[in-house]
Amino acid sequence: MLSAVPTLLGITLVTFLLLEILPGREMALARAGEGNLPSREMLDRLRQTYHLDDPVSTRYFHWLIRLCRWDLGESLLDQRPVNETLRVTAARTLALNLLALSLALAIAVPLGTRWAASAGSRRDRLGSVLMYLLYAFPGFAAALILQNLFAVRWGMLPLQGVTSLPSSAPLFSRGLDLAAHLVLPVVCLAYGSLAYLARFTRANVLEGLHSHYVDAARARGIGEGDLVWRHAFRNALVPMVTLLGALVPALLGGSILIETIFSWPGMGRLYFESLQNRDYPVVLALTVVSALLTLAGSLLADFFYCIADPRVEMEGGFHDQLS
Amino acid sequence: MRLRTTRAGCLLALALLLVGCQSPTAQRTDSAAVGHPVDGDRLVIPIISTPSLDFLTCTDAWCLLVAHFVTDSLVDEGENLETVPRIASSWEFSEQDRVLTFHLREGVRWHDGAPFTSRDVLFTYRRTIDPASGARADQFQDVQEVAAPDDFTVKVRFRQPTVLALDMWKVPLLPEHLSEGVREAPNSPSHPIGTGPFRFVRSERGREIVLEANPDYFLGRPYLDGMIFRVIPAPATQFQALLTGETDWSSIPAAEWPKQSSRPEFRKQFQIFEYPALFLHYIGWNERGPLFSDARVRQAMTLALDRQGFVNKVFHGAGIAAAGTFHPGHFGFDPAVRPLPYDPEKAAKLLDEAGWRLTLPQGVRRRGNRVFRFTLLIFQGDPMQQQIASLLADSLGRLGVQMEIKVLDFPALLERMHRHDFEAVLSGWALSSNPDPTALLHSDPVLGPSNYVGYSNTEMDRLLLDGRHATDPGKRREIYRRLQELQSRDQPYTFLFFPVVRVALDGRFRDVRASPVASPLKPYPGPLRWYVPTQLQKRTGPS
Repeated sequence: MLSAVPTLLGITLVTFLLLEILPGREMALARAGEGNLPSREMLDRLRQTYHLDDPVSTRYFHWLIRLCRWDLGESLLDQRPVNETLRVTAARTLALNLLALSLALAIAVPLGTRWAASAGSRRDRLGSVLMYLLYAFPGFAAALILQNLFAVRWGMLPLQGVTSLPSSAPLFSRGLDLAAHLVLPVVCLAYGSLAYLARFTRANVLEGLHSHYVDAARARGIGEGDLVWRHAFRNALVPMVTLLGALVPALLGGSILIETIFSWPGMGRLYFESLQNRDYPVVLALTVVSALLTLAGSLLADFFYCIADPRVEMEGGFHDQLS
Repeated sequence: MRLRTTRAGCLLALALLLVGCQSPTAQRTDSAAVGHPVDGDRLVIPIISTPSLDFLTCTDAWCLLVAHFVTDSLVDEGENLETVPRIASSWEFSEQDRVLTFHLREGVRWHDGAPFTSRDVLFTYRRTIDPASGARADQFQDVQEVAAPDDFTVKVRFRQPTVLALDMWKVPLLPEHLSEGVREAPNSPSHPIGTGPFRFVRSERGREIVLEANPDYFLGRPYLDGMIFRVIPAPATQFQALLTGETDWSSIPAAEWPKQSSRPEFRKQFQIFEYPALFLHYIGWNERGPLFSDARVRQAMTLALDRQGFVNKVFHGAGIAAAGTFHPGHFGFDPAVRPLPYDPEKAAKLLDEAGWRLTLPQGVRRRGNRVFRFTLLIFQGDPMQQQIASLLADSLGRLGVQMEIKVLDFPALLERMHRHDFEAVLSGWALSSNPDPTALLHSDPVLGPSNYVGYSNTEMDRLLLDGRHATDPGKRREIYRRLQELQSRDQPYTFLFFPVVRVALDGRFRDVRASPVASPLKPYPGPLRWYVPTQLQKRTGPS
């Protein structure tokens, strides 16, 4: 657990230094535009205002102290507390990604398992080809096609955005409105991981089905259904949990493409725009959050190992897994 | 009112408007039958990202547009670029144009209820010229002193008469009573307070900015209940959101134009506005470097590029090749100064003359040991820039000039420009309605803060200042004619083209007037007069 601290420090230090050598900070601060470059005097004043003339180490240290109190500072773009922006944005991204991941899992796991059970059959081969095709077709292209069909042509679903109703509308209709806005982005996000997860499940269950303990179980006269679900599938859960652990930070990562196409103001866009505007407090805060999540994800995966495979013990394990 | 567009300029722009689209005037006649102006409905406008709402320092178009509605300026621009009164009800010049006196409207209140007075104007001026504020102050260069003899009079004394006297007062005014501590003040960029026709309600980063009608506005409440600026980052989605009715406004992508403009339903559902925007794409050549200090080389660069062909092919004709910084709608625009033609042979000859000779076998141009090779900087995220850059690389390649393209993000590009650390750069200017190009061309760093290409010509410097201080329109026109000829001869930049912008607005809005050079959102009072007949109202209820 404690070994996570130097990792975290290392990540923040590298990010801080990388931002330091990124050109264009003063230009962004001066809100310079095409054909209106700031004067030298204005730049000097800005450097003073933002303490940019202090050594990097001093600034890093100050930032670190404030971080310990979870004071992430204020955005340079809108002068609002970063914490506030982060909370709203994270909630939106999390909602989108959790739904997408659940949808993908709900389809991919049963599908992959059944394919494994009928491995080599025509249905399995056809499924494989389909999945590869899906996997090869880029999500953003699918998003544009779905938008055009469902929103522009048929008018069944909203094209973009989070809500279209004012906050004064009744809660129930606002809920429906939000759900309608979620459909297309969730489907587009889920669909990318769907093919991958189905293939992954199939491979792992298949490996289980070919192992000796399944042969032994079959010899004991256990039915095929039980063989697949209670034996092979149960064993396939361990690699799945590892994969899901790695997916935890991605839950808050946000997909820039999908968020852009559907005007979903999530973490991906926030990161991208903050970097473009050299909004350093926001960029740093987002880095810290994603680093924390990566660490939390591997912790969580360890925890779920114990549930998936009772042979894994918790004691001491945490520490070792992390380092 | 010295600034007036030429009749010819207006006619040209009007002709473009009429040729390109159904006249919005025709639609207004229909609407007259529907009824009288009524209150209600909201206008939803898509924006690419949430801008900073610091009205003191804002330079980007969206911040300025929000400022235009939330707060007032002393004067503003009307439909034909003429200066119109806004919070100043009238003004007069005295002492041979050295003193400008504004008479302010009485009884105007800030959105928080505090009275607006001349002290607020004084405060805005002082904040702007204070370098610590980070605001751009060069428009006030010729101001010697600003005084407020009483609550409703502002006297501006100039060092010398200037044609920018009124234009500089189009800046958004700031409330003095909310100024303490400035950044921490209640009038922070996160909640701007103004006197304008719309009040700021809320903004959420990456999502929207919401404004509501100010019932106490001095011209009366706007008919619309509010305006919503909704963030839609993808331009293609912006246009589709117009089609689905999620927004009321969108620019029409060049690729969509041929298809949509021929669809009768599209024309029926939306009002279309087409205008050559006050924007100029250009290539800047670093004249402090060894390659581009010679005007012949810069001329050759311009001659090598088929600008109109590019506009026709890639933008379906949505652009006008530029001869210089003067827009067809500008005062003093001289149609006799033609854009340099596409003439690669002449370009080759000029390069030969400048000593850059084609050497075989590689077919590259050299002068002595030096190969003619340079890098063009462009910024990330604009496909048009990539297309122009590729076309240029291709055209120059055929002349034996090697050009590489380097893509940078916007702040990084600006930093390179600021440090003069580049050979060539592709960018663009948002032009003002006043044609004065001193900031772009003057060799003095104070007078020409944006002349980062290092262009320097004493004759140009003289013409620029003469033009700025020529209060007689006839004289000024003559100076500008010579100035345009010199721009064409010197090619301090390769002026590319003025983009023709096509925007569509939902048809339910009435009394929308076109401007020959700007979107119908821009002129004053403009959208304050827009209304939606009751039976067509769509966005009602609280925001």
